[in-house]
Amino acid sequence: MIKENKLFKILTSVKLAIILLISLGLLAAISTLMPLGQLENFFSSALFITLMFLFFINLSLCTIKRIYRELVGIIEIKVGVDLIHTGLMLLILSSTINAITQEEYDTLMNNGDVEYIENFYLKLDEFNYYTYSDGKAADWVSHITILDLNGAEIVKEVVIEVNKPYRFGDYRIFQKSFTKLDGVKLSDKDGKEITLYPNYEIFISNMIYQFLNVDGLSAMFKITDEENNIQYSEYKLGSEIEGLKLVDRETKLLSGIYVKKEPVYVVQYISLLILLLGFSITYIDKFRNMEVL
Amino acid sequence: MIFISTVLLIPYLVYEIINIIRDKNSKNLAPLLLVPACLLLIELIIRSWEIKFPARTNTYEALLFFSSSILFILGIRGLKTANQGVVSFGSAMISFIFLLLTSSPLIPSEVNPPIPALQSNWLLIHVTFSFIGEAFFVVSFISAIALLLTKTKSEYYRKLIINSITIGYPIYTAGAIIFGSIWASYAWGSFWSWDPKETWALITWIIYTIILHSKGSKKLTDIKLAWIAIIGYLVSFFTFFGVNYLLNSLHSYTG
Repeated sequence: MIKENKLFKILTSVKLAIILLISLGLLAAISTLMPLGQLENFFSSALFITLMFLFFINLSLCTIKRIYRELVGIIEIKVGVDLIHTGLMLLILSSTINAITQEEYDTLMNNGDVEYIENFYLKLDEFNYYTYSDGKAADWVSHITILDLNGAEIVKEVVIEVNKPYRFGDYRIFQKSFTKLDGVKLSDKDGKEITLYPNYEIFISNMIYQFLNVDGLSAMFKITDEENNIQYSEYKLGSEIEGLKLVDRETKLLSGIYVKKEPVYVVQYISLLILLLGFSITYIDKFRNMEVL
Repeated sequence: MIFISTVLLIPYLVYEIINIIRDKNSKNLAPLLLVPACLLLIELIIRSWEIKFPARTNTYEALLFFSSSILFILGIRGLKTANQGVVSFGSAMISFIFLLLTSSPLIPSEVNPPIPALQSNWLLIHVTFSFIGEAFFVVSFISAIALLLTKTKSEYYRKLIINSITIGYPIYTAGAIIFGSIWASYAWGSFWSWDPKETWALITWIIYTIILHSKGSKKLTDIKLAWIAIIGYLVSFFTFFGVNYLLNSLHSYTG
């Protein structure tokens, strides 16, 4: 039998576990009062990481101690409890590894756009936005092709939609969002057309016209002359800008694609499964033996 | 059907409150709560048929399901045990209040199909298990209040608190933590992102974990246990409502 020293006893005590859980709970509660954008800094802070690390140590040592005692016959074997604690250990470990090693790519793509993602290219072939009869969003779906670094197709006709990401090696490709870009179409005397979206610029008569936005039937431009003097002007649709006619507004839909590389993603799933199994084994037995409420 | 269910609860509540005031153990009518429970389920099935998706993706539908779960637990408990009284009354009252809330203008009741992020089987499993687990926490909450208010029967209420948490905890863990994480992974690419909803669900889980890990300790007196169980449910309630309406969260669209 292993003789426990004082430090080991403290590190494996349920009391320590409870203190750490309370501390983590309080810190987590405080975090919810912070703006969403600052959460990453909070959960990367030394205090939080230290508490989580201590909790992991406590959980791990408790689990090892418990399993040892079961194997030598000091305590009753409870497979369910062991699985719960092991699953939790694995979850914390795999999540930590993922958090350190993961890579993320967030992009807005138009039909035909090609995006570089570390080891491959992503091409958006077609983006579709579906609505219900009342106009509310029903689904948004992207049809993509994955190309290698030489431009050859690796996988084509991949369909991704919300809640249905595509797995490509260590990467998962998500349909995260979409955005509408409102622009304006201009036409010259010969009928040639150009569409401007926000922040697009055209050079007319030695001045830079930067399209800002369109609101109803009016388009706002920022005009910069040769001496860098800036003015803002609003043009109605149908009017002209130095010989170019503002024909109409035009909307394009951009697909929000999110790519994530997670080397130990599968381990996270396995740990959740182990947790589920552990709970099932532990509590089904308890329910059977328990008096009714 | 919601109106009928709500109205059906009134005579039961009146009956139980009379029994409590008279301190009498009269005929056990709790199994009758299965009637409004079934009616609420039927209402959800009808809504699901209309939107062509299981109706559990907004606050209104969640409240109906939650109320139904509480009534089912009380009804089934009523079939198996004659002891009713305060716990049944209190839990049924919570269900009644939630049903009244569904008529509030703060909780839209229009029949709308879910937005893309909510069109997920994992979401349905997540919500279903979470609310069933929380329904058991309601029983522990009422039992805890009863324990604090009564001078006798503390052992009975202590057992009820522990047992209801023992049943609710794994179901809630499966729903709120495990299946919720899996859904988040598919919807947003991350099992856990410390979103306020996720965080408060974890805090709820932590409180009940602490109860179950210390239930055998002599230091956890009946009074302490009762207070922690009360706090646990209030935190769970805040997770459901408070986060949606008071904090900035990815889950805020489920209103």
